[in-house]
Parts: sequence; structure tokens; C-alpha cells
Amino acid sequence: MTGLAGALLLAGACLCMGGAAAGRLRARVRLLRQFEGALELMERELSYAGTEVPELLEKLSGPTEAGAFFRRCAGGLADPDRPPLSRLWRDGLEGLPLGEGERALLEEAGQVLGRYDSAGQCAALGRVREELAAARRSAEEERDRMGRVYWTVGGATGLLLVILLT
Amino acid sequence: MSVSWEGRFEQAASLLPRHLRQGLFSLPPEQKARTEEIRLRTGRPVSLNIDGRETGVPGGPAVTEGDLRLVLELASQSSVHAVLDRIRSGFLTLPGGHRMGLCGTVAVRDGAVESVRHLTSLNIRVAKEVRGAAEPVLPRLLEGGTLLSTLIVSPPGGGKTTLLRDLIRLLSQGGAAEPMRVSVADERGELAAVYRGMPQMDLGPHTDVLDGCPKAEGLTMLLRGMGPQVLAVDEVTARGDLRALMDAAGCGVSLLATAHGAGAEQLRQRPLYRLMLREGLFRRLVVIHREGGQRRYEVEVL
Repeated sequence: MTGLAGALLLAGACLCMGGAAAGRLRARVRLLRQFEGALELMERELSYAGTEVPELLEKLSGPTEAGAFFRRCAGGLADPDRPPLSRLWRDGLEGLPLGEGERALLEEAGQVLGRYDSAGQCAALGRVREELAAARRSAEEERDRMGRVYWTVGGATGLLLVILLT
Repeated sequence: MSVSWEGRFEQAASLLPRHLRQGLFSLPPEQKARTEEIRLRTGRPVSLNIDGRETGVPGGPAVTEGDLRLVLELASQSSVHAVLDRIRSGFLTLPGGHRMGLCGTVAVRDGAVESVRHLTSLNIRVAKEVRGAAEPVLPRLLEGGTLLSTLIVSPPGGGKTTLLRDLIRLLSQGGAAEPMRVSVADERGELAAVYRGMPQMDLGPHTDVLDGCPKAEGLTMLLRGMGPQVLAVDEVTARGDLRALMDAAGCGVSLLATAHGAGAEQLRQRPLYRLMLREGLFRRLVVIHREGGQRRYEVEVL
């Protein structure tokens, strides 16, 4: 009986690991979509209203993961001993579930934000957004393909362990 | 409004990165209060302009281009696009009414200044609101309770804006005469130093400020919309400004303006001002002389 319970626990753990791996893929897609939306809003605000960056970051702050990133950046700007915005931005990206290429793309956005005229920033942000959209589509494909694989592998490993241990 | 001059110095210096401002914050209070400008040049330590003379801050580190970029970023709230027109005109207005001049390699497009890149020096001019500076002058500018149109003249840094600001405040609050409605065309944001919609300088209770608008258009807008008794403008330099001032004078509005120059004779050598004086636009000329750190005001009848 104890062996069966242990085997079932192991099977559950394997299934959870598979689910967590699939969840990371979903989170990455969700985050990329949030950043795409944020970049689009930034372009609109910069081109139509010339909104200042602190106000822009406040507007983008919210309950989502990207929103938390923008809130961290906005908070950093309020510190009189802060480093340049580009560094706050880059540091804020650390730890987010993004691929290296996607992180590098977003770092580029941080390099131009607030440093050039509105048109120049919009052009750069627009290019980053387009490339981010391509990265998101590719991440969606990976999520659809690999997400199922992770669930299946997790489930199958768990089942195998149950058979082997009972 | 009641910030001490020492406090104003610290407010202006707080824009500097910590390693540059530490030396400034430890200066004696009297030195802080007398500082007119904080100057930063790449490869040199920070220096201060005190009573018209520049002195280095001992023991300070050399300023780097990265330091200058960071100061500009802090001054512009990381939003160069929002202050680009000010950068093109050579300086920014800072919180507290201080102003920051920029030097570097200028990027030009179609013959016009596009931006300044590769900064080489910055000059933070500490805002000095000298309340009461205009009190000895004002009675000589009034006739029958009305302000006679007045032009204030001095070389750059002579105190024109300070005097104009206090004249506006005194006219607006009344005392020497009935309070007057004063409209200010503050193209460069130096008079009221509006920062995020809030004037940083006291221009009196009956003063309306049009901030950031080109002077000629601003004067016309104020004349049409605000019903001023006095129109004030800093640094008249273009024919368009002169035309707008003439229109205003034709409507019975008193004028207050400033110009760079050493005196009436020097002004008459310049075509714009010669025309201005010939047309009888101004009835009084205030020339500011600087003698041993003190300012003396000479009023001429035109």
C-alpha cells in the first residue's frame, strides 16, 4: 500500500514537472504578448502626446508581469542616485521568462527610450515590436508543439514509474 | 517660494551624480549662497561661478561625458523628446527654476539645429529670486498709477531676468500702484520657470503665464485672450517680437521687456533696437551696472 502511494506521488510529481515546463512556455508567450501591447501603447503615446517617460512607465504599470517590470522601472527613475534608464530597463528584464533573443530585443528598446526625438523612438520601438511579434509567433508554435510533449513525457514517465515500482 | 539661496544651490546641485555633488554639498553655506552657476566640462573638475569669477571645487573628480549624459537624462526626466525644442535653443528649465545650458557637437539638419550630441559641457545656472530687487526702481517707472513701458538692458548674466521677474511680481501684487493684470510670454520658461504646470517663481497674484510659446505668437495670444494691463517678455531679439510689441502698445497695454546690451548708445547701433527706440515703444530704459558684486540700476527717460 505504501509502495503504491509512493509510486502515485512520484507519478504526480512527474506530471507536475511536465506541466511546469509547459507552463513556462505559456508564460513566455503571455509575456511577449504583454510587451507587444506595451510597445504599441508607447509608440502611440510618444507620437501623439510626446508623453514623458516616467508618466509612460506609470501608465504601463499594472498587475501583469510586464506591468510589474514597468513599475520597477518607474520606481527606479524616482531615485535621485539612479543609473541611466537603459540600465534600469536591462536589470528589470533579468529573471523574466524570456529567451536570450527576446531579451536582447527588449534591451534595444531600453537603449532608445527617452534618448531621441519622438519619431526616432517610435521607429525603433516599432521595429522591436515587429521582431517581438515574430518571436511571439515562434514561441506560440513551440508552446503548442512542446507543451503537449512535456505533458505527455511527464505523464508517461510517471506511469512508467508506477508500473516499475508496483 | 521661500527656499534660501543655499537651498536653491543644493536643489540645483542635486541633479549631479553623487560623486560629483558630494564636494559641492560640503562647501561652506556662504559659498553655496553666492554661487551663480555650476559648470561641468569633460576632463575637468566641477567649477563654480561665484560673483562673476569661476573657481574650481578642490579635490573633485574629473567630469566624464557619461556624467554629462546622466545629468541631461536626470534633467529631462529621461525624456529628451519632451525637451528637444529647449535643447535646440541651448538650455533646459529645471525643477526649481534653475536652467541648464548645453555645449557639445551640434547635429544640423536642413540648416537648423537638430540636437546636441557628444556633450562637452553643461552650465547649471542657479535660479535667484531676489524679492525686492525692483523696489527702488519701480516708482520711477510709474506715472499716474500706470506703468510706463520699460526696457531693461544689461550684458548677459547682468540680472535682467531677476529684475523683470520682481517688477512683474510687484506690479501684480500692487503697493506702489493698484494691482495690475500682468501677462507674461515666457518662451524659454525663465521668468516663471513653469515646471509641470506649476510656476516655480512668484510672479504675483494677478499674473498669467504663457509658457514655451514663441514670443511673437505668445504676445498676440495674451493680448487677445487675457486682457492684460501689462505685457512682459524676456529678451526681445526678433522683428516678429517687435511687431507684436508694437501691436500691443497700440492697444494701450504697458510693456516690460529686456534686451542684451550695455546701454542706450549700444542699443541704437543695432537695427532692431534702433527701430524700437525710434518708434517710441518704450518710455523708460533701465540699465543694470555691476560694480563689485553689487548691481546698480540706472533709469533713463526715453
